[in-house]
Amino acid sequence: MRFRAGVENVTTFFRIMQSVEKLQKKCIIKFTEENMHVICNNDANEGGIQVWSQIKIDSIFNNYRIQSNSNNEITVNLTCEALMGALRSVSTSSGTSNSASGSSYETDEVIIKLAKKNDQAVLNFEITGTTRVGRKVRIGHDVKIEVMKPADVVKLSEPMCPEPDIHVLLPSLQKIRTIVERLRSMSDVLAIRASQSGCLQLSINTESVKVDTEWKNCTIPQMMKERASQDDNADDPPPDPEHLFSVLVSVKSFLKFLSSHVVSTTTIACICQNHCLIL
Amino acid sequence: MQATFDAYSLKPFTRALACLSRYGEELCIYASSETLSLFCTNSSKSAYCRFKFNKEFFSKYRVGDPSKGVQDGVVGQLMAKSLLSILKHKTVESTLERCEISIVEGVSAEEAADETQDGLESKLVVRLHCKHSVIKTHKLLLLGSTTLMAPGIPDSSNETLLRIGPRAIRDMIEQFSLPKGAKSDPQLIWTFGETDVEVRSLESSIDTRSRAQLATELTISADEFDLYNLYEAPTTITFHLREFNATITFAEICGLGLDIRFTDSAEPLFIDVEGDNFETLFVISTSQPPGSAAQARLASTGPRKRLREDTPTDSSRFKKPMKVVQSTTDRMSIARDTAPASNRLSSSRQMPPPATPVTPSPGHQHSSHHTLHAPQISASVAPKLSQELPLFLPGSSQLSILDEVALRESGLGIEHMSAEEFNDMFEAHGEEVNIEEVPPNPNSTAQTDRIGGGLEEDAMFTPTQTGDTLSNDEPRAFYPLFED
Repeated sequence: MRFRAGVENVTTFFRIMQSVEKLQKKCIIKFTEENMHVICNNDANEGGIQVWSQIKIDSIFNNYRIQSNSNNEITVNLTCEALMGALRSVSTSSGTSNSASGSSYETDEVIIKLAKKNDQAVLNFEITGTTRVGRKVRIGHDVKIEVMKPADVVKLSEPMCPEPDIHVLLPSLQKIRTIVERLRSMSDVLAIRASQSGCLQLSINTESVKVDTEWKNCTIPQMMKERASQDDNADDPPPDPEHLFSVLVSVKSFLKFLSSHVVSTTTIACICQNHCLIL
Repeated sequence: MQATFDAYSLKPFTRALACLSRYGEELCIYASSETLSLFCTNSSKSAYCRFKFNKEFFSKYRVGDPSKGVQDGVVGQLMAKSLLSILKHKTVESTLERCEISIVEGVSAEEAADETQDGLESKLVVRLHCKHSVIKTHKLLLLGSTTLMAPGIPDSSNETLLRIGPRAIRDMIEQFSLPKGAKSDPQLIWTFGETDVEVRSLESSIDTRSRAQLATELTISADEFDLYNLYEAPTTITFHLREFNATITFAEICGLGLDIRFTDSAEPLFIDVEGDNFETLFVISTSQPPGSAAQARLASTGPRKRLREDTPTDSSRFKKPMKVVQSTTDRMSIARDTAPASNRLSSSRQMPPPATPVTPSPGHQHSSHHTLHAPQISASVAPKLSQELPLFLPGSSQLSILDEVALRESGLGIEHMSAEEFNDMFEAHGEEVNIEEVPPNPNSTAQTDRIGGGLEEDAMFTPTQTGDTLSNDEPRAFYPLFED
């Protein structure tokens, strides 16, 4: 089992881990030949939020080499905090002047590889950098990991979800986050509704207070329907544009998700009426 | 004691207080005619911090009352946070014109029977003169301390001296993602080699600790240090970061460099930071890096709970971490410690007198400094050496059996002196003490017990405190500085 890669885009990697860390302490990362999957599927998650993500390795790594007995896939279990600690010393200030979150060393190269230290599997990060004055510095991090057995890996599967009723492109997550933060103190449950006309509503309704926030003119992406039901759909009457499909979610979980706004560019919300929200 | 300083000096003063409050809770003030010292020790006695402000730092400075003949400095103790909160208040920084600090002693000095008058009702009065003729007066109660803490003088012959700017060392430490929190107290292992410095986080033994998820290692060229006088390469030391970080923050804010001195892994680390008219000393205890011996485990738990130990240790090979400070009731040690900067520096660099075979003598409790006071040393040196005699007055219960014996053997006849006579002996020399370093006995290894002049490795270890029985035997005219 071998794995070695150069980390090109540390900032993105760091931000991904930052978002995940807010949801769950430990996470599963699955490295395949093409993608890196970050999975948080702990059922004990408050509000039932799960993360199943797929990241093309080209966006983060270069010189990617992986080799394993199970179809060249390696799945590891690690603590988000530890991985973040390793990445933190690499990620530069990246635009912000807040040097507390970045290192003060210019990084030349970061190499991540699977290694074994004292009978313990670790993910080793070798970072070479230069100090302010131009001298070389070498930093090594060892993140303790647990390699998952193939039997367990097979058990990992995305939850079954019905075909979503509606897809809508969410407005800037930053803005939604501001609103939802205000709503958090008022209610535990948030209703998310969207309609074909591009209207998105976030509302809470409790004994003492009722708040509705509406965004108009959200884009409804045309999703490719590959199912055979496509033909049937063509015969069905076009869905009512004003009908709102709604789902109720826990405010806290939604907020946790919104904290991943650092990584997002576009977010599509898929609402399965009264069942689930896929983002 | 009265001291006045203006708004410009307020900043370093407040920063000093902030640093002190990170070291320990209780702040001791010692005011002598030349300097004002603020010092404190942390709760586990593993770190000591001292700020010494020369009288030039203040616009007005007066200690004692010449008419009454009170020469000696004032000592008191208070909570660092109280003073800090007064001076750090948000309106203070912008409106302060000058600040007057004075210590008012409650009980009059005429009461001869009660020599502990300082302790009873001393008050620290802080008077802030602000804009618009606003005067704010704060009065804080000063407690008299029963034991004062002072570090021993380091032995400079096998010392490593490093100088580094605070920014560079901050960069190094930042690389380590350390758990933050009041309970956590991370340690780092520093290995100084010929050309490289390697810093490792203590949890590098990943297999043994299930909690540790991340191990970090940093290798950097020794050129980062402005001055790199390594005594012996490689040297490895381990110490806790909490106090070290406070020091670095202070140095960084004031823009001053750090002078780090240490000898070997079991002896404390000394950091000097010098600024305009003030000087600071930080002493942080170090421990042996784990893994060097099975007993090393004790070392890593040691620093957290280092109380005065009465039980003898039986492992001569294994060096337990040094206590940073020794409790002393003698003001002279404080005075010596707080003597004006120039004196201390020059004296610590002096060549020590040639070593002659000496009998064990009561030395400093800081046993790494093997002060071998020999009455046989030439007469010219003797009077000065006698300055270095016990930190504590003879007959105090802190003398161990060996020390008592040595004291008698030394033939100085001081064991029968009363406190006044003892003090008079020093008085003649005044405060300008030339402190000479006496080299350690080359045969001895560092002992943590207070056996004066620790000799062979198999030296018998006796309890460091003889308990009260011994002191009770001999009637002493010894008045503790502060009564309980």
